[in-house]
Amino acid sequence: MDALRLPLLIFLLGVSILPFVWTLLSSFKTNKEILSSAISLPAELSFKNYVSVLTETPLPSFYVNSIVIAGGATLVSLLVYGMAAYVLARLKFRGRDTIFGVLTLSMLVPVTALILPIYRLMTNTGLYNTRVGLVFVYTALALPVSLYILRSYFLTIPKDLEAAAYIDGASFLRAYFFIIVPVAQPGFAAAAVLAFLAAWNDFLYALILTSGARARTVPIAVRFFQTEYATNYGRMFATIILIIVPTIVIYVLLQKRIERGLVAGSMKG
Amino acid sequence: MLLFLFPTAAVFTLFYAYPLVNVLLTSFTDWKLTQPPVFVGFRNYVDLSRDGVFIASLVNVLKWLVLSWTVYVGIGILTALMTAEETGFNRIFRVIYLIPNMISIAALAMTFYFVFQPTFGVLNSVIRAIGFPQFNKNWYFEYDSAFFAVTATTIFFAGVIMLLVSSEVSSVPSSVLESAKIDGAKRWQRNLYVVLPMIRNIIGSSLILATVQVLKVFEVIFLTTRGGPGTQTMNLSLYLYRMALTSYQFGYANAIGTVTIVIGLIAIMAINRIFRMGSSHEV
Repeated sequence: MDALRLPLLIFLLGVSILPFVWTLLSSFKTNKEILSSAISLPAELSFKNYVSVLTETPLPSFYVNSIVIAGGATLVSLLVYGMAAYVLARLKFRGRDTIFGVLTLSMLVPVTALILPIYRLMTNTGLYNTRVGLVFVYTALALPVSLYILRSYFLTIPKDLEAAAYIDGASFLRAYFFIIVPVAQPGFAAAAVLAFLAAWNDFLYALILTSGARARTVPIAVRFFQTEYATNYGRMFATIILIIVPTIVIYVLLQKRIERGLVAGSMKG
Repeated sequence: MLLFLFPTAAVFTLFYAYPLVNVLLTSFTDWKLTQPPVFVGFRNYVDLSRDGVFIASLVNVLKWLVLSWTVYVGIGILTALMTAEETGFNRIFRVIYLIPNMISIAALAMTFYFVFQPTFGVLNSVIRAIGFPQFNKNWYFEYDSAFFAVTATTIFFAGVIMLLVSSEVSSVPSSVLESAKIDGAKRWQRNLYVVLPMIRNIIGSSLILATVQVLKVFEVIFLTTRGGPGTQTMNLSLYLYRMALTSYQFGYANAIGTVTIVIGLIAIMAINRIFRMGSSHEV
């Protein structure tokens, strides 16, 4: 294992970085440069591809859609699943563990198998091609991971904390929103960043539930540009970079939190 | 207070329970775009068993399952064990190696679409530059390389598996490892006979995660080979998408969905049993 260690780790680092470094370098090149010298450095650090993508294509409006949709789905997820996770962590009632088990089993559903009923649900309710429709779908996709992370976090909070509030006559609602929520901020942050990234990165549902530029999100841009600007490679490279940069910024800033969330949300054992 | 559960129950019902039941029930109907569904028993499944594209998709999915259980999960476990010590290099490795798992799979697929592009793609350019132009290929679009290229687009990126396994490896008590060391066990022996059995549960979880991921693969194929050439890289998700949203064969599409779900269930139950998950792993 020791002899294999460095070659394997360096190979994996290579495949994890080099394709993106090459994409970044290529995004500064003209089409002619890309075609004539694919592995040389760009002749100059030109942002022309970025400018043309951001001014001549609907990418900026996709960005707005992505921020609104991913942000909306994150907020709704925290509100909805936070309350449920709290009940499932604190209240004792018959069937509680079964309910929690069934809800988190949704993690094991290959959701690509459900595209048709969800597509029809959205068209029948008039939510097809709307931001609200995608907010609902991404909220649903965030269910298992959010619920798991939030409940695990609530379980670490000592019960005495709310007990005192209840003695002072606080209602269940008050105790949750004014005592638990502020204390559980790290749990909410972990659930939020994962829900946001999942919504931001999704391609499949954005593809089947939108048409035209109205509700399209950023990852769909690659598909859109693949047909519209098939031979303008510089623009394609710039588009890829513009899709992944926000994700990488979020990851670098919140790396520890994301890692803990991924571990807590993975149904260990 | 139970009202707190209501919104979550509603989301679960609308987006998981109802679609699951709907997929299952309508898979026994003949249901096209405009007509209401008509019950036809097992006809869709009989048709599937004679459908060459479906069989090819199924075989590909099974191949990808085996590859991900072995290579993908294997890489995740190896990297977790290899970077268990808290050194600077290991920390940097773990941060960077997780990046491909963080970004949009669509962006990852497009990046590799260009990496494998035949004329200006970086792979062929490098192969030419070091003097072997005869090994240049149109990776995604030739019969003998398409499956490899699609597999290579995702199989090396096991950062999340590494993360899960690491979190468990770090909880193996150092006293256990110390005593094995004193007994003369080499590093690989300690990993194989002490650490791996103790992290059995998380290996089972990783295999389940890998199973669900393989069954959900869509973007990587949709944005590169589109299932071709022929049916070389077709999978169940892509075929379902095609049947549902371009051929409007709703009943038939949902039969494909049911098969996908059933494969997942069987695999997950088998993994659960083999790894005796849920049972205590204390020694």
